[in-house]
Amino acid sequence: MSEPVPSEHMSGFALDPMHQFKVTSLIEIPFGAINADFTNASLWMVIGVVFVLVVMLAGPRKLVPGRLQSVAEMAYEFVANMLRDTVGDAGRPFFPFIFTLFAFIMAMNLQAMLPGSFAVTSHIVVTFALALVVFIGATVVGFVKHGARYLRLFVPSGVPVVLVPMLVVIEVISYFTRPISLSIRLFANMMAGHTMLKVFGGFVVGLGLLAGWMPLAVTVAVFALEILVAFLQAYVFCVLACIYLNDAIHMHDH
Amino acid sequence: MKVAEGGHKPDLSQGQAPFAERLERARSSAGKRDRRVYVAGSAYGLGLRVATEMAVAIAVGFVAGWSLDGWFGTKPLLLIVFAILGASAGVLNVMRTASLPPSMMGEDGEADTKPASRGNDGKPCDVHDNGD
Repeated sequence: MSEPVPSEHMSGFALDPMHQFKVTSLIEIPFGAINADFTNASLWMVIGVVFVLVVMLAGPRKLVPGRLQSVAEMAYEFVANMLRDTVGDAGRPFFPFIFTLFAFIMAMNLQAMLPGSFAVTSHIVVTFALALVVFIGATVVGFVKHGARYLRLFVPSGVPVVLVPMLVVIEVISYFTRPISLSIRLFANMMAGHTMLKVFGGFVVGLGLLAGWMPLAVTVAVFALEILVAFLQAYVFCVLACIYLNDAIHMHDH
Repeated sequence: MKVAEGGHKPDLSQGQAPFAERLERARSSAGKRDRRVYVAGSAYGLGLRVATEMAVAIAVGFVAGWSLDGWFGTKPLLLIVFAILGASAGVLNVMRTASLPPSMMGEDGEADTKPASRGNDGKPCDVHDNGD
């Protein structure tokens, strides 16, 4: 996995749509048996975090906001509304977490649209790690808030006693589905989109001046769609995180 | 904005609604506008999401059954049972996904602009109606 391929970029216009997802070490960091190299994925994560910090912290704070401040305020209000709509006031302590999650995923998804960048969220390692944080976090919150009574989440109310054991198993499976579907959704969307862009991009070159404009038009359209998807997936991820938090805090049975 | 002669109040009688009302109107339309931005055009996304829920639940059931089989040495039995239970969990997940309010599903939320597309889905939104 960690062959040091120094600064190998997109291999020209070769038709290898998966090449863009290759993780390469930029700086090797010896850390025992663990590969702790600074990779291109790490680089783009750092760039994304710096970008978010610049948007949120830089710029003057005026009563009448400028462009940068406007973006920061919109992002804040967007996430605050989302949290309030799904969890209510009890969700307020979790705002920093949800906002960080949203800003990170959003920055990763959007910067992946830059040519030559690296789509961090198209790797399931990343998305699954994020989803696992959400999942374990929500579970811990549930147990802290309700103690052992949190397990009642798995017992649906108003069903015949005979069916309860089976339904509990189904509910447990459904519960453990959460982090997996959460991570797969984000990763699959990002990877599919970027692969599609690359494939159609390859068609443009392959078909040349004669017919290349057709896939080019498709590429432009898909690019626009991908920007929407970048936003939508960040939103969906965070809304689901909020819903899971809501389940953990309020435990309304289904 | 027109200011009435001889006073520094805006003229409320002609055309201009009272401030509170205009504020209310602006607020509601702002909310509508925001919502439309983030949910626009994503029946595709919804379909993908529902499909993922289903597939993942079956996979989780399958893996759970497989590993439990490994523990208890009941080779094919628990695998079969859990695959079926996983499929049930998948149906449950899909139902829950579908019963979320549209704005949280990434589905088209522009209910007011297109009432026609709204008519036949029966709007099963009660389940998650912030219970308590």
